[in-house]
Amino acid sequence: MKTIIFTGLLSLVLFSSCHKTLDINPTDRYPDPLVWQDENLLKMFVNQQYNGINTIDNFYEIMYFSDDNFCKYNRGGVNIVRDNILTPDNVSSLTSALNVWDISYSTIHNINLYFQNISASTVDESVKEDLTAEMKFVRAYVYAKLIWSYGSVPIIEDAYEINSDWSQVKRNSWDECVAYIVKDLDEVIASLPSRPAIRNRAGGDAARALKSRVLLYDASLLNNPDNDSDKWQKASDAAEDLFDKGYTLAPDYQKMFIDVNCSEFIFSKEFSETYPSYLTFYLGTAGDGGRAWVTPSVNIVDAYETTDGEIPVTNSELGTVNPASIYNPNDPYANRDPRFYASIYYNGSTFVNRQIETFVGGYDATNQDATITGYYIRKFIEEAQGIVGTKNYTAPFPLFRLSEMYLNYAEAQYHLGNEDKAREYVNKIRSRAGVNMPPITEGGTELLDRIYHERQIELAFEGHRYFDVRRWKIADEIETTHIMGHEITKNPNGTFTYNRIKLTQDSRKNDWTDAFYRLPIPFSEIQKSNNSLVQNAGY
Amino acid sequence: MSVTVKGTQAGTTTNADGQFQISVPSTSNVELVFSFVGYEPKTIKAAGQTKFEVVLEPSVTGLEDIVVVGYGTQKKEVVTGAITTIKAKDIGLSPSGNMAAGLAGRLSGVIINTRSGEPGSENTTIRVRGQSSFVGPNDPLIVIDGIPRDEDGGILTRLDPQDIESMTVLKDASAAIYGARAANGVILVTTKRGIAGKKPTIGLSYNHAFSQPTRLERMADSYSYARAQNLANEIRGLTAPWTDEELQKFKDGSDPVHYPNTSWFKAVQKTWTQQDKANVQLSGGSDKIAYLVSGGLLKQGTPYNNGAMKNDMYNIRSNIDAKINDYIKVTFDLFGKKTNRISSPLSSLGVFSWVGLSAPTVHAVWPGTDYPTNRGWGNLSVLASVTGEAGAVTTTAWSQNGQSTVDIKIPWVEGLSVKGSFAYDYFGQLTKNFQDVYYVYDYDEPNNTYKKIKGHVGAPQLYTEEKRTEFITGNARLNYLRTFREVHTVDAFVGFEQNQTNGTFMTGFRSNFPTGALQELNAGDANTQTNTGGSVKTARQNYFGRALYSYANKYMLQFQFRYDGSQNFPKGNRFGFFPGISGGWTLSQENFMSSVHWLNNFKLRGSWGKMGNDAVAAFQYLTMYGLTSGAVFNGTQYQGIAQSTVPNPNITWETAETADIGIDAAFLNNRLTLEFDWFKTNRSGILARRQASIPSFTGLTLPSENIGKTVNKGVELMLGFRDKPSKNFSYNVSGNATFVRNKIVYMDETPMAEAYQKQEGKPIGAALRYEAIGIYSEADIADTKVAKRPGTIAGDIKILDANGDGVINSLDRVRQRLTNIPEITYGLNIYLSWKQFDVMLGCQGQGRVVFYLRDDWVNPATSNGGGNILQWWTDDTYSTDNPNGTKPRLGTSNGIGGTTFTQVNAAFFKLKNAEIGYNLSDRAVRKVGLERARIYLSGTNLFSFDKTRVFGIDPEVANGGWDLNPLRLINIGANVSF
Repeated sequence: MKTIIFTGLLSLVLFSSCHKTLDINPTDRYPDPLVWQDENLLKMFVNQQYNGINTIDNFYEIMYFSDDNFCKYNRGGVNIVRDNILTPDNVSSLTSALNVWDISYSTIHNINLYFQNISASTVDESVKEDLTAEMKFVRAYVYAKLIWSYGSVPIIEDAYEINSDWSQVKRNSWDECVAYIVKDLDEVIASLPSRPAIRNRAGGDAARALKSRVLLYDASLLNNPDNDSDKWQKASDAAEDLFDKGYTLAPDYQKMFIDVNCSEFIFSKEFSETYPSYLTFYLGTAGDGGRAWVTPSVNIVDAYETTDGEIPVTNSELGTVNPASIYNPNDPYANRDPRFYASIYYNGSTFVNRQIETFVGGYDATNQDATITGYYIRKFIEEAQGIVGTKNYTAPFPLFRLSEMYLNYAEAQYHLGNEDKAREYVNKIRSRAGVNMPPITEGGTELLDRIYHERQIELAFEGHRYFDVRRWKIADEIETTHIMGHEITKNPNGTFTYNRIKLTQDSRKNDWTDAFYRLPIPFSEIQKSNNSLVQNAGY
Repeated sequence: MSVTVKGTQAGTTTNADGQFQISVPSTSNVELVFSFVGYEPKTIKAAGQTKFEVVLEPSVTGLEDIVVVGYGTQKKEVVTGAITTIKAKDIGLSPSGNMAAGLAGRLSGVIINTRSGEPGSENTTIRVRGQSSFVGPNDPLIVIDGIPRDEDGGILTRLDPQDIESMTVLKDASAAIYGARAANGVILVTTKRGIAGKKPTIGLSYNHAFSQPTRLERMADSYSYARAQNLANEIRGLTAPWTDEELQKFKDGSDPVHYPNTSWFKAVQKTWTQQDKANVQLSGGSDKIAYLVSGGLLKQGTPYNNGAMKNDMYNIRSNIDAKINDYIKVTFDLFGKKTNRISSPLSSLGVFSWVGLSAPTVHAVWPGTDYPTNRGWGNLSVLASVTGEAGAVTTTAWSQNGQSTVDIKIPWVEGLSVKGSFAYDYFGQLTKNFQDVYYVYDYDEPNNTYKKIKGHVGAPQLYTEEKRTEFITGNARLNYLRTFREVHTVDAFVGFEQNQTNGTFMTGFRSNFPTGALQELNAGDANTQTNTGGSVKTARQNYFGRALYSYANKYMLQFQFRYDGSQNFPKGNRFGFFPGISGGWTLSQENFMSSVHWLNNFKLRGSWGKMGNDAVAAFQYLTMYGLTSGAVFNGTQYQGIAQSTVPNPNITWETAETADIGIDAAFLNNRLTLEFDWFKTNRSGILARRQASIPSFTGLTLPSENIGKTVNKGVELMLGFRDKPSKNFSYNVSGNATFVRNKIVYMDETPMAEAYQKQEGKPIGAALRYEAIGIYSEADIADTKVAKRPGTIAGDIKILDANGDGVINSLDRVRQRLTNIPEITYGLNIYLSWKQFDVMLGCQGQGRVVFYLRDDWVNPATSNGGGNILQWWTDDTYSTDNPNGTKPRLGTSNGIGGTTFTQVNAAFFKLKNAEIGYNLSDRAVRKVGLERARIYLSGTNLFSFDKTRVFGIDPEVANGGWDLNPLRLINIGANVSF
């Protein structure tokens, strides 16, 4: 009997809180209304959206997609673009650094949630105002990346739920997209200080710089076939707007890229010990344990001028030497633009305290990661830290810097007919401290080539080239030229022989179509939209 | 043992010494019946005797068997559900360190595959009658001693087989008693207990096994690899990396120092490894207390050369039964397990990736030294990563299961009892991943010196993770079991159960340790420290019951239900009702069958039931924001939050409606037995994400929705024949075969897809692939009428233009018919016993099953790049010299992974287990004071007939063959009891 009573009592004790048992709140997430009422949570929500611009994993991947390097491991699906075999199917296998569709619209959904909930939020108005401006900056940046990749895209402002109706979503026009981005940026410029209190959050200057690039791309031939000079004027004004904001060209073209406080950086992706960049490891020399995922092509090596201001090699496939230049094919690295030495490790150059050996059998040419171009990238490398896979590198990645604004301005001024201004701003860059290349003097289309060339050199590996050759509509030439490498042989007498090798397959040469000026919208999206989205021409 | 007087109700049981007292009628022909569960009763003339030597033979029919079913036991003869059971004797037969792996082929209707050979992480998959759900786990529910248990420490696979009395698999509606967690079937495990009145017995068993991977991957040799590289470049118009002289040197091995032929798998994998298993058990009981105390250990060695890896497990179990008085019985069970595992900082998968990617043209170590070469990849050395030089992951896990049961007979109502159980399980795990600085070497040949280079670890660092989870389960049941007028039996109960789990975890990290000598967090550099932590809670509540009525063991009718509540769903959708009904008719008990002497048993049974599956991420009905890594501003990381999933306010169970019709039969004096089942499961409301139809531009992170429907149909056949033709010889042959096929009835489909791409009508998980139909020739390339993808050149895989539109695009991908879950599985088990010898053979087979070779095996142009490929592919590769080659050229930009070229038939027939044993004669054993002694030689994964030998890949292995092949074991062992 006692036992029965005991059992009964025990059951009562153990099961006393029955009816509440299933009412569990998640212990790893915040509930909906709280996020919009709590200032700290609201700020955290905004912080996360910066990943819509780029992420810790993809911020550098855009550099694969151009002729100034060769990525031997098909990272980010680069072969598809490099070999000119892009289709609406295989576009989905490209890195989100270029095929930005999914990541962008996911961010846009979150931003739409923000705008849906912010007006009812009880958080202090001044806080809300700043956060709203930041959201507009991110939104503008995300849309900008979308239109640069695909051309016009749908503008979506509804925060959809699972049973919403999106069957009527269509692509907006190019001009609507640009106007939408510029409107956001103008509002950001009006409400945020030029330089934010917290470095590299959105600020007025970051918005100005983005606006400059958006308007420059908008004015370019690909998007402005009628050459509407009004567009060039707007692009010019937007770039000029940053000239008096206190940015100056940095004095050391090599060290500036590892200095988060660099005087010409307008907006950068930052890293910390807890949220590190692995770029030095990913790009680093194989002899030191780097992965060498991207290595400079002979094409870009050929493009660095000799100190007399001449381009040394005019055809990289054939190795045609420019007779006007002081270039010596048997001593190819002598007397080059100082930016060459700052951006590229070549056979015989110095890494910390040793010589780089990219000749066959050399220290940096033997293991499986070794470069097959003969070169390694030096830009962005944190030499003082050494190259280690487990190291947490913290150097920033520049997204906008003053010299780009000068180049944007020069290009716009050229198209507005002001060749003097154009030359002046190109020469400002050429004469920057430590570079001191002779000024350019050309006019007409030769000047335009010089502007293009300066942009290729100055902004090498920073993710501009893929878009530049397309908006200029010169990709049909650039992207059908083989990417070349140097097979360097050490001769018994200690000299070297440089043998050009072709690194890309023949489809690069033969299969280009003008459809490739834009990425296709992933075919699965066309299917899911039931043809409401219209594919880009040519795919 | 119970003793009854034949023809009367009078009976008693023997005590620990075998003594008993019984009153018998004073007639001369009185007979006593001695019986014991699982044995044939024996009838002996009692007249005048006081001493009996009784040897019981194991029961042949098994009909007297008591079978464990959900929340109780039933006599086998009244069971109406589709149930497979396996007894202690058969469970312990495999020397495998993974208990579940050893059962493959033995359980009819249960598909067991071992996907990896890494000790302690064999990745065993168990499927009861195939699978029915798209995304959710298809794993069965594991119930140990009446308590559902799902800790992540290998609750089933890591059980000590010596501790298990029996296992029951509930395959049909009989699982409905477990309601919302039963849809994938239920495995009930019952551990051994002491027997009241039995004298103390000590049992010892020891096994020592030698293990090795069943196969070594057949990677290309250096000549084939170098030649393949040249061909790949040649066909693309690029410079060949190797000259003809170099190729020749690889081929003839004339300069092994400069042109080696390295087998990285041989360099990394050990030929033989050791495994030890031991168990000691003490069991017995007085008339009040019964006890079983068992301790076991398992030690598994490293599969790698010079490896520091190991997997050690220690377990202890104490099952105590106490009879307080005639009405009250109490049990108290404790189980503890500790696992010490040291593994490579690269998982077996990681080791594989690096080994597979290593070129055979490069030395693993410099000739004549043990210096690892520097092959690149951030100076990562796969050798140092398996020897412990580069550090190791030490995982220590503790499990404790504590459980108490009170069983009270209510004195006032005959047959009524109350039973309550309470279980508290605890699982804790500490993981320490210490990475240490090590060195690789470059060789400076002219000076004959080696240059030491730091490996991929820059500074010693430690990452620790501590996890604790408690599982609390309580249940109470009211039982009623009574037989009226000797023929009407009612066996019924109602119950309540509640489960809660509370888990927490915490991680810490520090770098820049001064040395590897002290591997604790506080020895690291405080400036580098980071940490994180979190917790999780779950709860379930259920009401359930069952009523079985049987008439003279001839007609059976059973009803059961569960009313089940889970916190995974919103309030209104939280509870579900899951009923099950079944019936049986034992024809052989009918009078009209009594003349059919060759038929000993014939039972028809049928069942129908509804079950649920709630195994999805919790809280998907809420709008929630999860923590994210945020972004860095001003040199500091700012944490973020983001919407987890868009809410689905209507989320609820998946439901499975299962029907089963079966026959149990025994013929020829019970020597031939047969079981046959036909079954069908309609699964509906399957939780899946509408990824195929919701565009990405909506930006939605999709929640699971109850949208899918599948049907899973099949048949099972089990045939057994046993006989004892002579006193010294007996044998038992049994075979089982299952055919099961699932079909998607409805699923979210891509709009505008071609009919042959639909998932509807195809099995779950069927891949969408381009059909490879050969190799494009030069003529095909020139012919614009031959459809091809952009960039295609001669030597690429030729693809079927499925819709005939003249272009190859994703609309030409075809939904395949087979998956990696076999449609046909079968097993064959043979036991022979001759005098003191016995032999066991256990075979497992599967058919109508495929897997796809992982891309990395066949396409070295992967993102990590430049690795080796299978030798198979380098044989008969297309080239300009071999335009009829059957393998595509290497280095294709289009990739071959998305085609059926890599589809491999994974059918096999394996000699899974074999054992030959010798039982020492009773006389010999008793002379040295023992009760029983047995020695045996056994093995597992001994032989396999299959189609994957050419790759050097075991057909069961996971990830398209990209993992350690399962292990073959050769084992010697001994059992002794006294």
